[in-house]
Amino acid sequence: MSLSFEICLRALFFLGMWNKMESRRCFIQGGDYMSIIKVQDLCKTFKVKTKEAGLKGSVKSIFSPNFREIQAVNNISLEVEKGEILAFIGPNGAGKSTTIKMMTGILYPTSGSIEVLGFNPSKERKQLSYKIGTVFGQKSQLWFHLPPLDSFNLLGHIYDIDNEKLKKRIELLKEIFEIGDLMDIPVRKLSLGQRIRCEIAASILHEPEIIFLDEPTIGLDVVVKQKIRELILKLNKEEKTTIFLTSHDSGDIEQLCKRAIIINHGEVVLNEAIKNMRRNYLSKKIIDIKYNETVNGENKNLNIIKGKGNALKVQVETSKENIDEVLNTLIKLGKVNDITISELPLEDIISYIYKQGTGGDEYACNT
Amino acid sequence: MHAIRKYSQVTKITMANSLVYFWNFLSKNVFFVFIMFIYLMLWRNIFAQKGSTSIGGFSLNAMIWYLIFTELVTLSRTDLHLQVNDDVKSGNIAYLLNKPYNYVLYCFSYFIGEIGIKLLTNALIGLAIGLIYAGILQNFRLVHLPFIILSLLLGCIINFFIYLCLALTAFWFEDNSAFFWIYSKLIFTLGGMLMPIELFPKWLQGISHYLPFVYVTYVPARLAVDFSFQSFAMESTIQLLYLGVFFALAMFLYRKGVKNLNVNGG
Repeated sequence: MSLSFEICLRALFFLGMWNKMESRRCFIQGGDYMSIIKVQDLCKTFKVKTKEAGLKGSVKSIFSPNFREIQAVNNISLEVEKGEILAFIGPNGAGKSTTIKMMTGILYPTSGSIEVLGFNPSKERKQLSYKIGTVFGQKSQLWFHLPPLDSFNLLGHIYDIDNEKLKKRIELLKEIFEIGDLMDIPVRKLSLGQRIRCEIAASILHEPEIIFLDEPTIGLDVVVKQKIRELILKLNKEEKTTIFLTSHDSGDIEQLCKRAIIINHGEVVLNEAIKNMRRNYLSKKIIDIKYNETVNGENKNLNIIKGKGNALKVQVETSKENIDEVLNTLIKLGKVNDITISELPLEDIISYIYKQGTGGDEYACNT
Repeated sequence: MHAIRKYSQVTKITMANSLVYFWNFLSKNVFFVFIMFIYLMLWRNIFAQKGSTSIGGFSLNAMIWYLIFTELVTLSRTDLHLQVNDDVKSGNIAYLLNKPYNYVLYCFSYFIGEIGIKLLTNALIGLAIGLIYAGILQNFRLVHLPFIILSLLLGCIINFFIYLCLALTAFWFEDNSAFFWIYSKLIFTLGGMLMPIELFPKWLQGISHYLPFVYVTYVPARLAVDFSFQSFAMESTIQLLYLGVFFALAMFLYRKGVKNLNVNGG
C-alpha cells in the first residue's frame, strides 16, 4: 500500500518537473507563450538605518540603532511581450532600478514572483544571465585602461562563446555599431558617445533575448542620443531583441517605445500604449497664431495663455471646446500671418501623470 | 573546460591591465628598499650587541633573506579587497553579479593576474636588495626553489582569501576598515614579519603555529632560508588546509551576503 503510494507520489513529482521543463522549453523556443517577462505582485522592502541629528543622536545610534523599512517596490505586476520595446519610467527613487535588479536576479524580492524567459531570476541567475544583457548608463563593463576589443574577448569567454563564433560576432557588431576604428583605443580615451556604443555592443555580444537598458542616453548630446536610439531600433528589428528601457528622456520613449509603464513610489501608476497616452492625456492643444497687426485678444471664450503684440498663444480643451469654433474666433480677430496647432510634449504628459499619482498639483500647462 | 577558459581569460586581461601600472608597481619598490635598509641596520645592531653569530637559529644573512621573503608576500598583496569592499558598500557589486561566473572565482582569477606582475617586480628588487645587503643566501640550493615558490604562492593566496573574507563582511558592517588594520598588524607580529617566531616566548610560539598568520608569511620565508622536504611537506599541507578553509569561508560569506544585498536606487 505504502509502496504504491510512494510510486504515485514520485510519478506526480516527475510529471510536475516535466511540465515545468516543457513550459520553459516553449518559452525559450518562442513557442506558444508571448510574454517573456511576467512579474506578479512584486514587493521589495529595504531596511535603512536612521539616526537622530546631533551628537546625542550619534551616541544613541551606537547603542540602540534604529531601522526604518522602506517599501521600494510595492505590488508591481507587469508583462512584456517578445520583441517589444517597453519604456519603464518614473521619477528618481520610484523603484525602477530596484525592479530591474530583481528582474535580472541581482536583488531578491521580498515577496511576489518574477519569471524572465521561464527562469526565476533570483534562483537561476546564472542560467538567465546567458539570455539577457544589461546596460547601466552610468556604469561601465569595459576595462578602463584597455581597448574595447580586450573587454569583448573577455565577455565572449565569460559567456562561453566559441572563438570562431566570437570573432564573427565582433565583426558584425563592429559594422552595426560603427566601432571598428575604436576597437584598439583604450576606453579611457573614448568619448562618452563612443563608449556607450561600445557598451551596448558588449552587452549584446552573447545575443541576448532581452536587453535591459537603464538610462542609456544619460549625459549624451542630441546627435549621439539620436544615433544610440537608431542603434536600439536596429537591434530590436534585426536581432528581434526585446528591449526593456528606463530613461528620463522623453525623446527616448517617444522615438523608441510603443508602450510605457510608469511607476511612482514603487507602484505602477500607468501601463499604456504611447499612442493611447497621447490620446487620453492630450485633450489640450496649443494654438500659436501670428497676425499682421496687433489684435485685441480679450475674449471670454478664449483661454489665452500668452499674448504679446501681434502674437497669441491659446490653449484649447478639446474635450470641452470645439476647436473649429475657437479657430473661427481667432481668425476673425485679424489678418492671420501664421498659425500652428501643437500637442503637448510627452514630457509634460509624464510629469502630469507623476503628479496625479502622488495626488499632487493639478496639471498646469507650461508651454 | 569552458570554466578554465573563462577564468584564465580573466587572469589574462588582468595581467594586460596590470602592465599599464608596471612603472607604478616598480616605483612602489622604493619602499621595499627603504624598509629592508632599516631592518638591516636594526638586525646588524642586535647581532653586534648580542655578540653572537646566530639568534634563534638565524644568522644575519639568513635573517635578512627571511625578512625579504616575508616582505615579498605582503608587498605583493593586491588591493582587490579594497575594490570588493568599495563595490559592496557602494552597491556597484550589483553590476558585477549579472554575469555567468562565480564572483569569488572571478576575484581569484583577477588576483592571479595581478600577483604575477607584482611578485615578479618585487622578486627582482628583493633579489637585488638581498645580494647587496646580505650577499648570497647561505645553504641555498636551486633545486629547492620551485618548492619555495610554491609555498610563497600558497602564502599569497591564503593572504588574498583572508582579505577577501574581511572585505565581504561589508555586506553586514557599515565600516569594516578596522578589520583590515587588525589583520595587517597580526600578520606583522604573529605572522613573523617583525621577527621570526623562534624569538617569541615558547607559549606564544605554540599558539602562533595553530593560527593562520604564520602560514602567510613565516612558513614560506622560513622554508626559503632553511629548507627541508619534511618541513615543506608538513607546512604546505597545513597551508593547503587553511587555503581550503578561507576559500570556503569566502564562498559562504558571498552567498549569504548577496541574499542580504541592499542596493537602493540607480
